[in-house]
Amino acid sequence: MFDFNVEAVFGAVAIVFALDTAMFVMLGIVVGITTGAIPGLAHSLPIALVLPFSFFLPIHQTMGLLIGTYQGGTYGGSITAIAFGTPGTPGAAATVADGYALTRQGKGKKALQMGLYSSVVGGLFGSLVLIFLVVPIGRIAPRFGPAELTALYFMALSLVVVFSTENAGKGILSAGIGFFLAIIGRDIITGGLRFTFGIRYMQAGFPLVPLLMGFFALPEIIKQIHTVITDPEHAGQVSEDGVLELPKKAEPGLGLKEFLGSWKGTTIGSVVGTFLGALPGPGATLAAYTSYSVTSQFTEDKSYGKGSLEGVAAAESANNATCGATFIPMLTFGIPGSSISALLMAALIMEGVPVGPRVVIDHTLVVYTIFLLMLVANPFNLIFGRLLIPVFTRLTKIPAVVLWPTIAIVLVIGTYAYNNRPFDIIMCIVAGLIGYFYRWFKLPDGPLVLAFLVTPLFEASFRQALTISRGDPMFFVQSPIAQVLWVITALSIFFFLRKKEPG
Amino acid sequence: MSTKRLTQNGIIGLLMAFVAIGAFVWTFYSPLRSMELFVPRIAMWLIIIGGVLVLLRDVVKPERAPRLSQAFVLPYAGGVAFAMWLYGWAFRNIGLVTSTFVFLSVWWIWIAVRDARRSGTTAGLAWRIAKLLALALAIAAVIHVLFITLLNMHMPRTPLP
Repeated sequence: MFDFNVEAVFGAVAIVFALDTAMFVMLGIVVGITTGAIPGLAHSLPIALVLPFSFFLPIHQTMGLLIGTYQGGTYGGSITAIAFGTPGTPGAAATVADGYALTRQGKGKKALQMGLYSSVVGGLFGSLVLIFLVVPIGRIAPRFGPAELTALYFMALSLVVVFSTENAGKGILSAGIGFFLAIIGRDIITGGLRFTFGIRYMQAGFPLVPLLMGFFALPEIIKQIHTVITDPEHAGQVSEDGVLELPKKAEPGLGLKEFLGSWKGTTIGSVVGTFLGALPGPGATLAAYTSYSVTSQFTEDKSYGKGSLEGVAAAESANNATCGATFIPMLTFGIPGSSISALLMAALIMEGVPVGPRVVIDHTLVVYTIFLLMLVANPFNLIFGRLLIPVFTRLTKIPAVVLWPTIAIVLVIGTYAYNNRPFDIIMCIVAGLIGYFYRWFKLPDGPLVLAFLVTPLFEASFRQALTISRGDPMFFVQSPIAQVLWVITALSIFFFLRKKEPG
Repeated sequence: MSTKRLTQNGIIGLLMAFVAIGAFVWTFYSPLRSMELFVPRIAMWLIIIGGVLVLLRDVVKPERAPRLSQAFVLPYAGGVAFAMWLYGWAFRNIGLVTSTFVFLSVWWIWIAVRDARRSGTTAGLAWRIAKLLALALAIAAVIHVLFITLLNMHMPRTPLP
C-alpha cells in the first residue's frame, strides 16, 4: 500500500483547494465537455492546445486545466453518442447502442444523466484506486509481457464476439471485417504494404477517428435524410409556423432507483476500466466495450443493447475509470499508456518533473496534488455536466430537417480537423457506407470496433512473443497470468455456447 | 418446426464467405511474406467461418433469420456520401463560411419549397425561407469561429481528391 506523507498531503490540499486552481479545473471541465461533444475533435486535441500553458502557468494550475479537460472530454464524448448516435470521442462508441436507443424512445435526458453519474462514479473509483493502489498495480502492470498481452487481447476480443450477439456467425463475421480493416497499411515490423491498393494515403492505415465518426454517424444521417425526403411526417418535420419549435412537455429525469438499479453495470465498468486503464495500450474504447460485454452476461435488464440504462452505465463508468488509472504506468514507470497520458507526461516534464519510478519519492507534493486534482475534477464534472444536460437534451428536439444536415457538416469538418487530411473525409464516408451495410445486415458493431483497436496490439504482442520464444507456441501459456486469461476466454466461450444454444 | 430454406440473410453470408475465400487464395500469390499475411489470413478465416455459420443457421432455422429492410436507399446513401465529399472539397476551395452557408441554404430551401408544394400552400414560405437562411448564416459563423478562429484549422486549396 501507499505510505502517506502527511505533510505533503496537507500541502497538496492547500494547493488544490485554492480558488485559482479550482478555476482552472472548472475551465478545463467546460472546455473538455464542449470539445468532447463535437464529433471528430478527439479530446487529445484540447489537451494538446492547452499544453503550451505549462510554459508560464505554475504546475498546479497547468495540471488542473489538463486534468479538467481530460475528465470533461471523456464524459463529453458520450453526449453526442447518446443524443445523436455519434460518439464525440472513440471511448464513447460503446455508449451508442443503448444511449441512442434510449433517446429514440424519448428517454434522452435519463440516458444523459446516467452517462454523467456513471462517468463520475467510474472517475472517482479510478482516482481512488490511483491513490491507494498506485504502487501495487504499478508492480503488476509490467508483468504483462507479450505472451500475457496476447492472451489479454484475445480474451477481450472473444468476450465481445461471444457476448455481443445471439448470432455467433454474425459476431465472428463482424470481427473478421474489423481485423481486415485494421491490417490495412504498413506492416508494424517489416514495413511492407498490406492491402493499400496502391493508394499512398492508405499507407498510414485506416484512421481510427474517421472510421468511428463515419461508421456510427453516417448511417443515421442517411436514414434520417431518407425519411425527411420520403416520409416527412415521420421525421419530426417542420411545422407550418416554426422551424425550431420544441415540445412543451418536460422530459422526466433519472430517478435514484433507476440509477441504483444499474449498479452492476457501474461496478463492472469501474473495475474493468481501472484495470485496463492501468495497462499501456488498451485505452478507454477497449475498456468500455469489454465492460459492456461483461455486463451483458450479468444484467437482468431485457432491454440491454436496445435501450438500457445499465448498458450506458457499463460503458460510461469504464471509459471514465481509465482516466485515473492511466496515471499508474505513467507515474510509476514513466510509460504513457495512451496519447493523452503522453501529453500529460509532456506537461509534467515541461514543468520540471521527471516522470519515472522516483517521482513519488522526489516529487511527493506534485504527485499528491495530481491525486487530489483527479478527485476534485469529478464533482466539477458532475456540476457542469448537470448544468449542460438541459442544453444537450433540447438539441435532440431540433427538427430532423435542420439537425441532420448540420450534423453532417460538423462531421465532415470534424473529420478533416482531426489531421487536416482531405483523404480522411473519404475514409469517413467509406466507413459510413460500411456502417450502413452493418445496420442493414444487422451485424453487431462491437466486434468490428474492438477488433479494429485490438488487432495492431494483438499482432505486435503475438509477433514479439514468437520472436522471443523462437516460435515456441507453449510460451503463450507459460505464465500464471496468461493461464488465467486463457481459462477466462475458454470459460466465456463455453458459457456462451451453453446459454445461447441449449439445443 | 423449421422448413429448411435459404434466406437473403444466408445468401449474403455465403457471398461474403466466397469473397473471403477468394482473398485467402490470393494471399498465396501475393508478394507479401507469410508473417505479414498471418493476421490478414486470420481476418479472412473469421469472415469465412462467420459467413458459413450465418448460412447454416439460416438454412436450419430460417424463421429466426432477421428480416432485412427492402427499402431501396442506395441512391440516398450515394447522394449523401457524394454531398459530404463535395462539401469537404468546397470548404477547402471556396471557403468554410461560403460553403457551409450554400450547402445548408440549398438543402433547406429545397425542402421548404417541397413542403409548400406538398401542402398546396405557399403562405409564409418567404418568411420561413428567410428564417432558414438566417439560421444557415448563424451556423456558418459559429463553425468559422470554432474551427478557424479558435482552432486555427489549416485549409490549403487542394482540388483533388
